[in-house]
Amino acid sequence: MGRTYRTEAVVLRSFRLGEADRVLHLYTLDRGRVGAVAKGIRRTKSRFGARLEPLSHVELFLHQGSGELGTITGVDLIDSHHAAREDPYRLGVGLIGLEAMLRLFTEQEANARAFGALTRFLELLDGAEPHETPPQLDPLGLSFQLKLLWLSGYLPHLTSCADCGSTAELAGYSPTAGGAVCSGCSAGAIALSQQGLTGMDSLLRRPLAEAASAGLAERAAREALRVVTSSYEHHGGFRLRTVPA
Amino acid sequence: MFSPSVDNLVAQLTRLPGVGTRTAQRLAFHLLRATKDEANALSAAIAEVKERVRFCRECGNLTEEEVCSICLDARRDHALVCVVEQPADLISIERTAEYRGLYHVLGGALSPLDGVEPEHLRIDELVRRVSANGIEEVVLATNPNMTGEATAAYLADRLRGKARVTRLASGLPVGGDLEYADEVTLGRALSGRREM
Ligand SMILES: [Zn+2]
Ligand SMILES: [Zn+2]
Repeated sequence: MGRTYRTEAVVLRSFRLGEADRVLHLYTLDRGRVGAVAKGIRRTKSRFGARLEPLSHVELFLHQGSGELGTITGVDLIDSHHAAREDPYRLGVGLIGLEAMLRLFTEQEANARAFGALTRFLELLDGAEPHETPPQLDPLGLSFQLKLLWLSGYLPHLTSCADCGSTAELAGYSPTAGGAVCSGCSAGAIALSQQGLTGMDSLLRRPLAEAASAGLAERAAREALRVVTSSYEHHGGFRLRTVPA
Repeated sequence: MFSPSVDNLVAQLTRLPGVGTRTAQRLAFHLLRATKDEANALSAAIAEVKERVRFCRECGNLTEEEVCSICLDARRDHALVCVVEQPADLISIERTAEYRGLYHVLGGALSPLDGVEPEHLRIDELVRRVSANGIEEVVLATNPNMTGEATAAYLADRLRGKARVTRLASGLPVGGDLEYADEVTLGRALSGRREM
């Protein structure tokens, strides 16, 4: 009759089910992507309380029966990330990160590096400085998404022309070629400035903790966003709903 | 399993919240045993509700008229508006008998992941109402969860300078034991503590 296991998890998404329950989309350390029901969680006296809101990092006891969805039987809070949830700018960045996770890591298959990147992203987000520019241009959010692309095997190649191999000055980004392209190969590619190229390169090389101090200019951030967006479209056939078109 | 029309009734009942197949079967057999008049009264009530009930032009509450009875009630404080997600939330606040202002029903909460953007809720109507009707205070009573909080933050921003904006306090459920409170709720209760 199924079994109960215990794992660390991050709540990616939550929606109402029936009268008082919620279905949670979780990214777990031990099993990757998992769906589970939290019974009675919407009642004010639920023993789960506010521990299972999106962005929460928790330790869960999950019962896996014969159905596709597990049932949450217990939860300990590791970090609620309420600082990220309660600030509109940080929440905007956080939701983009969660949606990227939801779209890129859909398999029930453990990926400790992806889980580590996610929990690190959320820790850093708690202390992120809100910017004047919209959340989709946030350097931490962009850095996290570039790293997720890399972990999914869709890493944009940015140091030489992805089409002809030339190391001459690069001028654009082509998702079909899988990276930056030189001016000779840039027909149909997205134009990239030198600033954009070095900006993305430094976001990819630096740890997440240094994304905010990478000195990403707004123009470079806009180009990085375009590269991330077109990589999603090309490799996954999706757009993030949390990023306005 | 039984007959096409019984199967159809069971299928329709299963779509109701909190009704599983077993309950739906029990309800279906109950209706089969009931007199024709009893069963027809139920189906007529459903048809009538769908025919007559609509959203109040002012506040978005359910009503059978253009404007709901709360909006028309002259004894209520028309300078005070409480914003809720759903009509059911309005009923909960009415049950407290503590609130004498008007309401504004949004029809949901912002959730970009689910494709719910400001234009899908009655937000522009709220902003217009506050500007046009001399409303002094707006009480944000969206749910204390991520989407409800995000909606409250968005509304506070939109209403800044137009009216006083307040948010329902959040904290411990009355009648419970502290030892069973979760860390997040208890933390909120601590940061919202007040002088005695
Ligand atoms: Zn080339
Ligand atoms: Zn009304």
